[in-house]
Amino acid sequence: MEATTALEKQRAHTIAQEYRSKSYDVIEEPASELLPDFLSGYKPDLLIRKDNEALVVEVKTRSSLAKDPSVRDLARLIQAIQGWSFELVVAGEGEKPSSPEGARPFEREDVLQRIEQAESLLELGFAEAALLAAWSASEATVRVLIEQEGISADLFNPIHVLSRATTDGVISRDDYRLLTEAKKYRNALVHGFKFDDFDYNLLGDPIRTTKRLFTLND
Amino acid sequence: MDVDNIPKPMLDALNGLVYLDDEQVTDILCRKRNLNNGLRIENPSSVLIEGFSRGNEFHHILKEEAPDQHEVIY
Repeated sequence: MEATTALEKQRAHTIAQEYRSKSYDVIEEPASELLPDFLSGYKPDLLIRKDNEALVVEVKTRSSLAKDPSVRDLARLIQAIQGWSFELVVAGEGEKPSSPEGARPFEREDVLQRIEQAESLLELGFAEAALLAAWSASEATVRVLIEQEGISADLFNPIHVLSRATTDGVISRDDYRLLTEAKKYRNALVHGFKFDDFDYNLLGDPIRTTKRLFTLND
Repeated sequence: MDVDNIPKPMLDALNGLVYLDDEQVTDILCRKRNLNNGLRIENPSSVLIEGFSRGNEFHHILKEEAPDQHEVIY
C-alpha cells in the first residue's frame, strides 16, 4: 500500500530513519520483486530487516484506514508467519493547523456576531459567505459546549470536535449528522471547490441548529 | 474521563459473556490514549484496526488467561 498522503509519507520516512539509526535495513515503499511471495499483491510502506527479524510497517491516518480494509488482512497474514511482525502507525490527524500567533477561541459575543452575520448574508443572497460564517459559529459553539462538560476541547480538528461532542452526549446524533453534512460543503468552499448539489434553502438548518445549541450555553 | 472510571462498567458489561462473573478477573491494565496524536501498535489485531478505522473514540478490550497467581512481576 503506497502512503497516500503527505502526512503518511513523512511519518513513514521518519520511522524509516529511526530504524536505520538502530542498524536495521529499511526499504521504503519496496518494489514487488523485493517482497516475499506471501506479500504478493501488497504494497507496504516499509520493509525492515535485521538478523532473523522481519517487520512490515504501514502508516495510515484513521481516514485512510477506513478506506483501506486490506490493512486488516495484511496484519493477519504477517502475524501468521514465524519471524515476521507487523507495525501499524496511526498517523495523528488532530495536530493543530497553523494559525496566527495569538489566535484564541471565540467568546460568546463573537459567536453571536457570526450567527447574525450568517443570517444577514443569507438574506442578502450571499449563501457561500453565509455558510462559512455559520460554520465558524457552529464549531465555536460545539467547542464551548464540550468544555462546559469538563472535557478538554483542545481538539482543533473539526472532525474530532463534532465526534467527541456526540460521543459524550453534548450534541445529538441528528445535530451531528446535520453539522457534518454542512461541514462537507464548507470544506469544499474553503479549498476552492464548487458544487451544484447544495440546497442553499437548507442553509437555515445549520444556522438554526447553532442558535439552538448556543442557547444551551446560556 | 478519568482512567480509573473506564474499567468498571466494562467489567460489569462482560459478565455472562466473557466470564461468569468479573470476580474472576485478577489483573487489569487500563490505558487511555489521545488518538489525535497518533499511535504505533505492534501486531495489532484486526479488531483493533477496525476500531481505528471507524473514526470515533472506542474501547478495546483484550482478554488473556490470568497470570500465575503466585507471582507478581512488573
